[in-house]
Amino acid sequence: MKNGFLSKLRSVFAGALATMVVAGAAHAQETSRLDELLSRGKLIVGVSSESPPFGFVDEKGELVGFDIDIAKLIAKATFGDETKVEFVRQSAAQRWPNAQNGTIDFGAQTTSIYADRAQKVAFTRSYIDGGVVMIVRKDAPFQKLADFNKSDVTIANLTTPTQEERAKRLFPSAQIATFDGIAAQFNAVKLGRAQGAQLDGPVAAWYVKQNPDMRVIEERLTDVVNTGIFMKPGDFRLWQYLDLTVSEMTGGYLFADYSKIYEKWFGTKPLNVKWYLNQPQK
Amino acid sequence: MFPVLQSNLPYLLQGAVYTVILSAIVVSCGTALGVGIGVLASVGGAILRSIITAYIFLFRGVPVLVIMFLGFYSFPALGLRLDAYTAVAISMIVYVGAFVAEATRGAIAGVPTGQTEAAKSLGMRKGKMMREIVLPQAMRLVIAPVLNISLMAIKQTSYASIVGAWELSFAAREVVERTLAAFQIFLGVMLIYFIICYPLSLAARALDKRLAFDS
Repeated sequence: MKNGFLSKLRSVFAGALATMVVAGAAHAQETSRLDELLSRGKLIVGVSSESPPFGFVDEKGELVGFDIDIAKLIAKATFGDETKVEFVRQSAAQRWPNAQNGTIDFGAQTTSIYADRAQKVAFTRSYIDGGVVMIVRKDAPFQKLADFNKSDVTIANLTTPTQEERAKRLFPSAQIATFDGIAAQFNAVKLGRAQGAQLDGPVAAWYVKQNPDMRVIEERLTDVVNTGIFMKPGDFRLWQYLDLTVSEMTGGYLFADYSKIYEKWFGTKPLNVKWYLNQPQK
Repeated sequence: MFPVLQSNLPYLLQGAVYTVILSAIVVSCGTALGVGIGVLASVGGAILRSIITAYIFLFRGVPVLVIMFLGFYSFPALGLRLDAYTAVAISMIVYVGAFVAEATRGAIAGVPTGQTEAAKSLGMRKGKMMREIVLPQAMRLVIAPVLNISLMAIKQTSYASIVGAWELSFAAREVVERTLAAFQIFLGVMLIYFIICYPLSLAARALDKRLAFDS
């Protein structure tokens, strides 16, 4: 009696499960966030408003920056109108939940590609090179990275595990102080609370330009890292569409627009990913 | 004098508008919720009373920031796509409600027993006694603590920036990230918060004096 009931229950469950799997598979093929954003007629993009020059608030109170312009360029490519984009301002820690729970279509937020992150979100190919540098006061005695590995040196980190791991690996003897924003890191060094801060290369260049009493250590902390646009994993059509757009920006029909944006924020022309196009003209 | 603060003041004031709106929503809804729960706790049965006690103890014993994080991350898990602002508002309303509920319960208990005994001897029913005798006097006692709770809540809206709700503190952080002028900007922010809160503290003090029962 009991067994009969259990097996009946089991078969009912198995049937329900099979139905769900089939429905799920059909569902996955049909609907993509891409359809949703196309019918909505605008992009919802997660960005930082606290990371100059990638995403920050200018003197007029406008949200501006390299990532902001990249998102506008994607809107222009998608809808023929760069204003068709709504920005969601998010902290570094909020990037993952916002991408995973559908608060944003995708994020463009100076996000370096690492394996542990790629397990949480899907990344496009790189749209700009990144890399971490050390920033110090101009009058500080530091010349190379080895100079920081002393017990009386404090390294200012951002609240990301990668920075913590890197500081412990490169400077095992040094003290570590952790901050939740780039300005706090920078100010810690400026005011002498810390001797060096780990910053993204372009961000450091931007701050040093505004603060002549600071300088960047020549020796980099990392090799060049890739910066990807990230989104909820498992949506192949959306991922392919965005990855394709990035590929066109860095080496295709959108390269001219991309170059303009790059030059506006970094003052130099970007190289085309198609290396043979970068040869000097004979 | 403070050039960075001067040039960014309009942006900070925009943020202040959001702080005031968020505060008004949280304080008004939180007070309504809290008073309702506090009255229920005084008239309801034992089971209801223990549930309310658990709610009050839980929310009074946890930092508001933790409640905000829980609200922010749990709503999407429940399939609700709320913006950060709404998530923060809901979390804070429930949080403030717990404090107001406790104050209300205390105020009802603080109405002199002679009042209820007199009402009973006049043959009043429980509901009528609550409505016409106890609550009007209890509300007098609850105003001052509610104002103090409101002051606390206004200041706590600054945590909203941590889960991405844009208000005064978030605007301040954005300006600081660009200008690095942390001292100037936060000095200005301090003044703005003070201007928002000061009238309430004055009101709380005045009411404290006026509404206290002569003992």
